[in-house]
Amino acid sequence: MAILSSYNFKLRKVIGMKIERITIHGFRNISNTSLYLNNISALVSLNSFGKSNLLSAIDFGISFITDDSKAKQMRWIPGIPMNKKLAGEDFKFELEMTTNTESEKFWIIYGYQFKWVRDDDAGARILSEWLKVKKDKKGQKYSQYIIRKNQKAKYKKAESGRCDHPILVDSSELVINKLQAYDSLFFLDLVKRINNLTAHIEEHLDAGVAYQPYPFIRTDLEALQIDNINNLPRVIYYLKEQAHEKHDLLINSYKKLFPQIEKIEVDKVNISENINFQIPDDVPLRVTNEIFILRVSDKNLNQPINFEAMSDGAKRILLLLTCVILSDINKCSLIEIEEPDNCIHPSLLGQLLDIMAQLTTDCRILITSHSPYLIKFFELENLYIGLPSSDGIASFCRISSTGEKALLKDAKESRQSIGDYIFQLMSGSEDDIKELEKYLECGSK
Amino acid sequence: MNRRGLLIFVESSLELAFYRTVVLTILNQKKSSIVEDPLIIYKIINRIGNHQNSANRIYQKQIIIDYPEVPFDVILCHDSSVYKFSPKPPLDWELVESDLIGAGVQHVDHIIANKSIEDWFLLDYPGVLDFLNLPQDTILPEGDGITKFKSLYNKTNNVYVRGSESDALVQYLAINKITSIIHKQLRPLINHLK
Repeated sequence: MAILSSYNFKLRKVIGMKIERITIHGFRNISNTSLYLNNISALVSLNSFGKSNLLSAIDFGISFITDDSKAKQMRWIPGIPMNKKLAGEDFKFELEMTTNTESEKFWIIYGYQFKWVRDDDAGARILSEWLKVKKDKKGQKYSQYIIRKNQKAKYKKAESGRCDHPILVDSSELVINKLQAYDSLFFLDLVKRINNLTAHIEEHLDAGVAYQPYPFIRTDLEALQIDNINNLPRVIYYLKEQAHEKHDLLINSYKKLFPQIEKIEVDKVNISENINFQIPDDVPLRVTNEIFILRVSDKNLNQPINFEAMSDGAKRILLLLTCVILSDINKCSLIEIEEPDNCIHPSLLGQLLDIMAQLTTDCRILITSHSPYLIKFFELENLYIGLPSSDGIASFCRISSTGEKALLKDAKESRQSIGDYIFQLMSGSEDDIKELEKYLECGSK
Repeated sequence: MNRRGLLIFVESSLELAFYRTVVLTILNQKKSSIVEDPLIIYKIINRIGNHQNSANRIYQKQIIIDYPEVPFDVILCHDSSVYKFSPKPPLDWELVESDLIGAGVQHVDHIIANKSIEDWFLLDYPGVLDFLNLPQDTILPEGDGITKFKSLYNKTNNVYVRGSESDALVQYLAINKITSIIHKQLRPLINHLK
């Protein structure tokens, strides 16, 4: 671990960690689900199964690590499992990640478990926490860096030592947060990286709102933070100002899908003459004296038009690509997007996925979809299928390696795409569901 | 009409641009001027819906109706490997062939690019670099043809999307050089154009 400890990372706001696996349990109706992530992975299930719950659970799990309000989070009623079978289950979250130094790659497992708030006061407390690290070399085993049971916690103080040095933590505090203050810690850089993990969830991706001139800005956000995505013209303006190459990459990528587009430009319009009042500097949300208007030149139009006038699909694609680029700029580890295919023509979906995969480096993309047209472009190992269950518990399984071959063969024989075939079985009778199960890792053998 | 027509099925506009140029190049070697032959028809197999039937539909609903008295030979042009973001399952070219024969086509041949057509394009690496406006001493990236293309596009702050800019790319390639290297694979096409 010498290299990781001695390497002087420029700790900006965030440092990239690549998430390889997420395991999660005990959130709404989510039970023991593991996702092995590649560049782009997809969740597929019927409505009201638990796709959105799983995305929220991941978002919650990551923000629990990084936020200061853990006592409040363990009392967050909407996350508590209400399902009869899961009632009383603890929340358990584990990430397997990789990170690089200048010369080496490391594998990291970090996880924790807490008890949700209960009427008997036994809840709202962290039960366990663990951190394991290994070098990415053949034969390497994970070495324990943090271990905790309730409030008894230990960490590895020296690189050559054991994980036996006690550290005091209270029941609503994570060791990984507390260790940030240990300046001489040999794995401080790693601790900081875990504390800087970020995920972004896009539930609606509202192309209707994002293009309107919006005169309000949040002073606590930098222009290129992903939370500003609902003011797309402004984001693109600052992308050009502050990250010119990424701006060009965005526009180039967009033009690949819409070759008739010649130019996309943003106008900054000063509206100060309409504002006759003074705004204090310390307000959290202030009316700006600038609005931004995105204009597009199409080779078939005689003049540039406001991007707002473009089709919903065209607007949504630019929003999606910008979202991915911002995630990459902000070294976001995961971006979750609900139904990105809405309004988008099927013929563009394969290329769109391909472009999204090329725009990210360390950021993983996890989407949900109800579109066979989109799903057929996925590599089967990146598909997670939620099977209907009578007990209302959501568990997502991926297609097994043997199931993959069988699924391809069966879809081919029925002259259907993988997307059509999976959705047909998923929406069918009990026998169809059983047939689908046979292709899955958690299905019947 | 006594002539036979040639129907060339390809997977994307990338192959379309390439094979159109290859055909013109071969014809140009035979004649003094480049002439588009109206009986050489190029069609992209649409893979949005039930893609296995697309070639057969095109043959029956378009070619037979437009050219009722012309017998057509068919060449199916495809890659030997499956592109990561292509529709699954991959197109069953044997099935496409048998469907076409069932519909009355007498001769169906295949031209199969080893791995991908991008690997063929890279046989003229200087041409690819020229198209991308990259220095001629740019080191050839690792990986298969598509991965190499993506890496090269990345150097130009761009993404590589199969089928986009196809015509422009093919114009930069030394098609004579490429066809001379892959003339064995192109044999069905060369034979028809004799």
